[in-house]
Amino acid sequence: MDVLIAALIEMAEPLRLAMLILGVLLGLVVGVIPGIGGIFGLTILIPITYGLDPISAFALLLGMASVTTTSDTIPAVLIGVPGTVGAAATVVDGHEMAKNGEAARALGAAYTASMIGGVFGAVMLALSIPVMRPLVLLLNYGDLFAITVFGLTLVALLSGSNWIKGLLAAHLGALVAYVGLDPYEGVERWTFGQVYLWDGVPVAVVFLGLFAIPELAGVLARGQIQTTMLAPEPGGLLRGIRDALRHWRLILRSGSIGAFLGAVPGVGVVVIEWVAYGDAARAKTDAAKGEPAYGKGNIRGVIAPESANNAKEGGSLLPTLAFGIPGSASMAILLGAFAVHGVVPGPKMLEENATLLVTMILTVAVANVLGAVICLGLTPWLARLARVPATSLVPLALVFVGIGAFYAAKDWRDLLLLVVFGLLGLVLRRLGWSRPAFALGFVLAPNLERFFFLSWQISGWSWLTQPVVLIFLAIAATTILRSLGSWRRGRGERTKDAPTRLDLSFTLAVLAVVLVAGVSLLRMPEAAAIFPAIVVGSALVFILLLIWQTGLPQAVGDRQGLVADLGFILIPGGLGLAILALGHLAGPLVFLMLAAWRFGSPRPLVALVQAVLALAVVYAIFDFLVPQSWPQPWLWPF
Amino acid sequence: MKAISLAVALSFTAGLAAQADTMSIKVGYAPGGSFDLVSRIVGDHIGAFLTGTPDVIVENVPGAGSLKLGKLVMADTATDGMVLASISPALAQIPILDPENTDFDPLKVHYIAAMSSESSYCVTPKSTGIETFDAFLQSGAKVGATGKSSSTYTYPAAIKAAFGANIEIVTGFEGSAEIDLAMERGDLQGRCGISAADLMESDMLSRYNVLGEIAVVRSETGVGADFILDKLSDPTTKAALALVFSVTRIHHPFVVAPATSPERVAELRAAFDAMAADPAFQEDAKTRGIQLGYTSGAGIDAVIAEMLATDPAIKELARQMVQ
Repeated sequence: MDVLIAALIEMAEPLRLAMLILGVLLGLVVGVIPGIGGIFGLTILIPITYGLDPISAFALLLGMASVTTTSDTIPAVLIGVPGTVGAAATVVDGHEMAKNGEAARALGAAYTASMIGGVFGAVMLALSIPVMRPLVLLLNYGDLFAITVFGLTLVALLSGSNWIKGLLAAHLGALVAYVGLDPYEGVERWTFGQVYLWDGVPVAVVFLGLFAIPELAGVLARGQIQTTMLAPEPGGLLRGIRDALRHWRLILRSGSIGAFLGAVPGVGVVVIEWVAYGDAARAKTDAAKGEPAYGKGNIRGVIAPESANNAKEGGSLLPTLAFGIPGSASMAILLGAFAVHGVVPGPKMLEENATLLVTMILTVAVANVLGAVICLGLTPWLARLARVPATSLVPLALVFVGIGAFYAAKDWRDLLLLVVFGLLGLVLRRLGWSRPAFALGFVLAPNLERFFFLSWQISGWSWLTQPVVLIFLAIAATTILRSLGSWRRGRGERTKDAPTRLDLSFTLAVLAVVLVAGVSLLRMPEAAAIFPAIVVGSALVFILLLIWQTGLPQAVGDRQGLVADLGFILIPGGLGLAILALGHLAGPLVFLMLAAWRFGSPRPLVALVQAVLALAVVYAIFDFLVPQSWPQPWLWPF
Repeated sequence: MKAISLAVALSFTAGLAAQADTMSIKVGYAPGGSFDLVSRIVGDHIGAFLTGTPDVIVENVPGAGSLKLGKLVMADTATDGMVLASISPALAQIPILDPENTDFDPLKVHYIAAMSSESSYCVTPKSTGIETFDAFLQSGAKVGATGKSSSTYTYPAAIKAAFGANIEIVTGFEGSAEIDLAMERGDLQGRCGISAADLMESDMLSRYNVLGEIAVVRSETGVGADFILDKLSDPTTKAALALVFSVTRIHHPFVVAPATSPERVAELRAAFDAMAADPAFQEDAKTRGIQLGYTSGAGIDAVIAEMLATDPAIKELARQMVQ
C-alpha cells in the first residue's frame, strides 16, 4: 500500500501528469489516422524522453501506447476504415451499426469496453508481477499451435450464410499470407521476383484494402454513412455504455484473451482481436433480445475486440518486465528507454524500482480511462459525421487511407496492392464471401506454419500429448462438430441463393489462382511447400464442393453492382496515381479538387478549405512531427 | 481556379521545403533493435558533420536479415549519397558463403563506417547445467536461430561443423526475443550470436552461463568466456571458422549505393570519422547503452578485401560449414 501511495504521489507531479496527458492525446491522434500505429508514435516520443525522469518518460510512452487502440475505433465505426490494424474486427459490426443510425451506441460500447479492458489488462499485469516469469513461460510452441488451430476453427463461425464460401475465403487469406520468404528454408514463395514481397504482403495495406475501400464505396453509394434517413438515436451513447456494462463478462473474457496472448511474443494485436471476435461469436447470439447476427451490427462484435486490444498492452509488458525480453517492436523501443534511464527489468524491479513499476501499471490504467473519457466526450460530435454527405467524406477518408497505406514503405506497390485488395474486398462483399473469414485465415496461417515447425524441431511429435494442446484441439474439434451440426440443422431453413454466372466466374477465377499456386509449389523445397500445399489441396476440395452445391447458374447476377464496384475502384486508383505523380501533398490536393468537381459537391471553395485542412494534418504528422523521406514524384519538378 | 492553382503551388513548395537538406538512414531491421538504436544515434549526430548540416530521417526497411535493404541499395542509381543504409555485417560475406546469391555485392556498395566491433557469445541458461564450452559441444543442446542467413544460424552451424559438435539448430524464430524466451522455457539450451551489450541488459549474466566468445580478436569487455578459436588446433578448420567469425570486426556497418560519387563517399567517411571522435557523440552513446567500437570506411574495405582474398579452399570449407 505504501508503494501504491508513493506511486500516486509521484504521478501527481504536474510535469508527469502533463506528460501522461500529452501521451494520451498523441496516442488518440495516432489511432485515428489509418495505417499508422503505436510504433509510429513511439518513434516520435523516444527522443523527447531522453531529457525526462523515468516516471515522466514512461508516463509519456505508455500513455501513448495504451490508447491508440481506443481511438482507432472512431474511423472503424464511422466510415469502416480501421484506424490501426488492431481495429479491423471492430469494422465488421461497428460500421454496420453506424449504417443503422447507431454510431453513438457502437462508440459508447467500444470506448467503455476499451476502458474496462485496458484497466483489466493493467490489473492482470499487477497481479502477475509476483509470478510473471513462470506465467510468461506457461505456453510453448505446441500450445500456441493448438490455440492457432482453435482460432482457425472460428472461421466456421464467421463464414456468413454460405459456409463453403467462408471457408474458401479463409483459404484465400492463408494463401496471401504465405507470400514471402518461408520461415524455415528462407526460400521465396510467390514473390514474383519482387524484393518488396519478401516480408509478405503488408498487413496494413491488406486490411485497408479489404475493409476500408468496400465500406467507403458503400458510403458513397448510399450518399452518407447511415443507411436510413432517421436521425441518430438519441441517448445512443448512454445505451452503448449500458450495453458494455451489461456484457461485463464478455469484456473480462475478451480482456483475458488480450492480456494473456499479449504476453506471448509473436502473436500480435491483429491475431488477438480476431480471436476475441471469433470467441464472442461462439456464444449464441441473443436474437431473442433483438440483437442482429454477427456481421450485421451485433454489439458484442464491437465489445469483444475492443476489450481485447486494449487489455493487450498490459500483457505485452510482461515479458519486457519479467526478462527484459521485448514482446513486440513497441516493447523493444520501450526497452531502449529502460536502458537510457538505467532501469534494469526483471523481478528485482519489485525491490529496486517498485515505485516506478507501480507508476507504469497505473499509467496504463489511467491512460485507458482518460482516453475513453476524451473519446466519449467527443462522440456526440463525431456521431454527426454519420449524416455528412458522402461526397465530402469519402474523398477525404480515401486520402488518409492512401497516405496510411503508402507511408511505411513509400513504394508504388503499396498503392497498387491497396487497389488490388480493395477490388478483392468489393468482390468478396458483393458475392457474399466472408471478409472476416479471409482476415482470420490471413492472420493465423503464418503462425500455424511457424509454430508447427518450431514445435516439431524442438520436441518431435511429443508435444501432441501436452495437456494444453489436447484441450485446445478438443475445443477446436467440438467447435467444428457444433458448426457442422448447426449447418445441417439450418439447411432447410436457409433460403438458397440462386447461383449466378458472376458467382461461377469468380469461383473459377479462384480455382485458376489456386491451381497456378499449387503447380508453382512443385518447384519449392518440401518444407517451404508443405503448408501452402495443404491449403491448396483443401481449397480445391471446397471449390469443387461449392460448384457442386450451386450447380449451373440460372441468372447473370448483380452485374450492375459489380460494374459500380469496378467504377469505384478507379477513385482510389486515381488517388494513388496522383500521389505518385505529384507527391503526398499536391497529389491528394488535386485529387480532392477533382473529386469535388466530379461529384459536384462540395462547392469549390469549401472543397479547397477541406483539402487544405486535411493536408495540413498530413503535413504536420508526416513532414513535421515524423519527417519521411518521400520518394520523388514522377512529375517533379515540372 | 486561381485558388486551386495557388494551393497546388503551395503544397508543392511545402513538399519541397520538407525535403530540402534532408538525408535518410534506412535500417534493415524493425524498430527497437540494436541496428535501429545505433542508426538513430547516428541520425541525431551525423548531420552536424556534413556540409549544409542536413536533417536526418531514420526509417526502417526490415526484411530477410537486412538483405532486402541491401538489394534495394544495390539497385539505387542516385549519386548524391543522401541515403545511408544500416545493414547486417554478414552481407559482406555473401560472395564467400553464398556465391550464387547476386542480391548484394560488398565490392560494389560503398562502406562508410562500422560503429561496433564487438564480439558475440554462445550462452546457455544456468538451469541446463552446462558450464563450459567443451560440455556444450557434447551436450546435444538445441540452439535457436532466426533464418539460415542470419548469424544466429551461421555461427552455431560453423561451430557444429568445426568441432563435430553434438548440437542441433532450431530455425524459424522471429527474433532474438523469441529465442531468449524459448531458452527460459527450456525448449532451447543455447544461443550463439548474442552481443556483450545484450548480455549486460537486464540480469542476463546472473541467469546465463557465457560459454564461448565468437570473434577473431579476444575482447576486453569483461564478460569472460572461452575464446572459441583457441579451442581448435587444425589450422585449416581454424582459418575457416575465423573467416565466418570475421564479420564481428565490422558490426553495425553503414553503406551507400554503388553509384555514389567518390567525392560524396569521401565526405561521408570524413564526417563519420569526425563524429566518432566527438566527445558529445561518445557521451550520448554511453547514455543510450551503446558500446562503440569504430571502424572507418577504409578499415572496412581492408577487412572485406582480406576476407575475399582468403585461400579458396578455406572459403569452400567455410561455405560447407554454414550449410
